[in-house]
Amino acid sequence: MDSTAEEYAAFMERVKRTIYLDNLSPQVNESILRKALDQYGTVKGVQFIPNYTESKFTARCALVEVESPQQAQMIIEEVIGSYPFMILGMPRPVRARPAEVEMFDDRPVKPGRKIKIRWVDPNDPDFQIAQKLKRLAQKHAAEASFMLKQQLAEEEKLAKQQSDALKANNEKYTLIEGVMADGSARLLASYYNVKALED
Amino acid sequence: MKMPLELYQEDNVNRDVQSYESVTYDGVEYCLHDCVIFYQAGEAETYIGKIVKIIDTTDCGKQLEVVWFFRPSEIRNYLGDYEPQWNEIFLASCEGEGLSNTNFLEAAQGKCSVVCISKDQRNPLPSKAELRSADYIFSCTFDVGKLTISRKFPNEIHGFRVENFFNKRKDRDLTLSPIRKPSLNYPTGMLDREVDAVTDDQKYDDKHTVKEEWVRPTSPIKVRCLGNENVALKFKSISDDKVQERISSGKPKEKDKEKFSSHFSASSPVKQKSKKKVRFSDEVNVAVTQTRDQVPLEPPQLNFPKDKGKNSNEASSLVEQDQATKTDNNADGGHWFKRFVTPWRERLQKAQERGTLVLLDNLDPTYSSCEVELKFPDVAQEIVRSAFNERVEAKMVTQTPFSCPLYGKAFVIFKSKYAATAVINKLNRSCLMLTDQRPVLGCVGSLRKSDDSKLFIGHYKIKPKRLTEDARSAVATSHCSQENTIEYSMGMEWRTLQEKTERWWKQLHEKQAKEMMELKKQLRIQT
Repeated sequence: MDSTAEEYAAFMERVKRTIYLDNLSPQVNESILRKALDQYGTVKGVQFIPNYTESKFTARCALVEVESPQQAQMIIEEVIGSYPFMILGMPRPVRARPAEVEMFDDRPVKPGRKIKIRWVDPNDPDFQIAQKLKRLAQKHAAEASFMLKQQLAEEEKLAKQQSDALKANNEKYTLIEGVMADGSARLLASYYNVKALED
Repeated sequence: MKMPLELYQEDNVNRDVQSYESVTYDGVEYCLHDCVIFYQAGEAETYIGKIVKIIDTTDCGKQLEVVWFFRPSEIRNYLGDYEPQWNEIFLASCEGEGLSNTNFLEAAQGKCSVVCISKDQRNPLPSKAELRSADYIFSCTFDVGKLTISRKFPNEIHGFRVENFFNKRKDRDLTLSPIRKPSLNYPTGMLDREVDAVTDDQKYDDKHTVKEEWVRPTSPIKVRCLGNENVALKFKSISDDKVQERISSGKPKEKDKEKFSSHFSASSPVKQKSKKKVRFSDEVNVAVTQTRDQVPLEPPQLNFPKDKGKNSNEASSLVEQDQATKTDNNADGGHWFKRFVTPWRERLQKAQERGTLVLLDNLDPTYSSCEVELKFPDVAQEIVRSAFNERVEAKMVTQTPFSCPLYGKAFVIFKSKYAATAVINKLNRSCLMLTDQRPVLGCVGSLRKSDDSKLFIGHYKIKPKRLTEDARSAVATSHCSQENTIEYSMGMEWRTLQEKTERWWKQLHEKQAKEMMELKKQLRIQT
C-alpha cells in the first residue's frame, strides 16, 4: 500500500497542526478535551493513544488536531507552556508538545522507501555483531522500563507529598474556621483582651 | 535451582516411580507418544525416539522411556535392496539391544513430527499436508534382534500396543488429550528480562562460556548394534554431578528459551541442525472437526492462499480466527474493513490468548504499520517454509515520551500459533537485518493488564465539611491556574518534575543512541 506523495504531504500537514498532550487523567474523554482547548482554538479532532505495554503508567496521552499550525503553536507555547494548564482535576498539569510522525499509528508509508531485509546466518561474519545488537536492544528496553518505574516512583512521591501537605493545610484551616465560627475565638479574645479578627 | 517442570499425573501406583501423561521441560511440552530428539555431542546426527512412558523417580528425577527410530545411515548394512526416502526412518521392534532406553528428561532437545505411511490397517494414513509438514516418515520396522527390515508391524512393540506407534486417530485424540490451558511458554515480553539485561558485556561473556558447558546435553543413551565401522555406544549413565553442574552453572530460569537458543546456535553449527528440527507437533494432532463450511466465504481474490481447504491445519487455524471479523486473508483490498470490525485492542488480546501475538522490536521507528504488514508475510513464509500464505496484521506501537526514539516496536498478529512460534524461533536463531543494520527482535507479545484506571496520581480532591449544593456539584473546569492560588504552586512543582523526567529520558536516549552507533560501526557489511 504505497501511498502517494500527496497523501503523505497531507499527512505531514496534519501532523503540524496536531498537539500531543500527555499527563492526562484517564477519566478525560474527548468532549472534555474539546471544551478545554476550545477556549483557545478550534479543535478539529481528538485521538487517544492507547497504551498496550505499560500497565503502571496510568496517565493518558492524546493527539488533538486544531485548525492551523499557528494555533497549535500558540496553545503549546503560551497556554500550556507558561501556565500550568489543568484538565479535569488539580493540580497535575498537562504537558503539550508538537506532535511527531511516529505518534500516529495510522500513518501512511513514506513514499519512495523500500524495506530491504536480509537474513544473517550464524556463519556470516556479522552474526556476532548482530547478536550483540539484539542484546543491546534488549538491554535498552530494560533500561527504559526501569527508568519508567523510577519516574513513576518520583511522581508518586511528589503526589504523596503534596496531598499530605494539602490535607494538613486543610485540617488547619477547618480548625481555624471551626473555631471562628462557633464563637470560641471571640470568647477567648475577650478573655485575653485581644482583638479577634472576624472575617 | 530447579528447572521449571510441570507434570500431569496419571497414576500413583508405585511410590518410587510415578508415571505421567505429559511433561513440560524448558518450555516444550512432551506428551506420551510424542517423538523426541536427542543429541549427543560429537555425533553428526540426532537420535529420534517415541516416548512410551514418562516417569518420575525419586532418585533419578524425570525420565523418558523411548522406543528408538533408526536412521537409514545407522542400519545401512541391513537395508539390502530397500531404498529409503530422504526423510525416512525405521521403527525399532522386537527384542534386542537398541529397542528402547530410558533417558533423562534433560537430555531431550525438542520434539519432531514423525508420520507413519504404512498401509497397515491399523494405521490411519496422513493427509498430504501432514505429510508435507512432517519431519520424518516411517513405514517399516527394523527388527533389532534379527537385524532385518520388515513392512509388517507386530502387534506390540516393547510391551505397548502397536496402535500407539501409528498415527493417532483423529477422533480418538479428542478424548485422550488432556485439557490444556493455553499458556505462553515464553516469559512475557522483554520487560521481564530486566534482571539479565542489566549485565554488562563482560559478565555476558563469562556467562557465554559457561553456557557452552551447559549446552552439551547430558548424552542420550543408545546402544547401537550395527556393522563393523559403527561403534557401539556404551550405556552411559548420566552422572548426577554432571546434571548438578549443569543446573548450577546454567542460566536461572528467568532466562528464556530464546536466549538459550541464541547461545546454542552461536556455539556450534552442528547443534544448530538439531534445533532446526524442533517443531511443535501440536499441529499434527489437531483434530479436524471443523469443516470448510464454517470458514467464512471469501470472494475470489487474486492472492488466494494455495492450500485453502487442503491443509487441515490451515482450516483449523482459520476457524480459530476471530469469527466476528470477517477477515479475508487474501488481497490487501480486504484490509480496510478489517479494522472497522473489531477494535485493535480486542484483537490483540485474542491473539495473545491464542499465542499468535508477536512483539517485534528494534524496527526503524519511522516504519508504518502497512510496511510491516506487507513485509512480514514474506518473511514469515520464508521461515515457515510451507504453503501458508501468512497474512499478518501489524500495528506499530506509537512513540511516547518514554519510548526510545531509536527503536520501533510493532505488534504482529499471525494467523496461527505455529507460524508465530516458528518466526520467533527463527528470528532468534539467526538474524533478520533491516536496511539500516537493525537486527529484528521477536518475542511473544503480551499486553499488560491496565491497572485500576481510576487512580491518577496528581489529582486530589478536597472535601470541605460544609458545602453548598452548588459547590458539591461543581466540577473543576479546565483552566489555567493563576499565580495566587495554591494549586499554582503545586502545579509548578509538577512542572518541574515533568521537566526533570524529560531530561532524564533525553539523556538515556542519547546514551543508548551512542551505544548503538558504536556497535553498528563494527558491522562489516554496510548496506
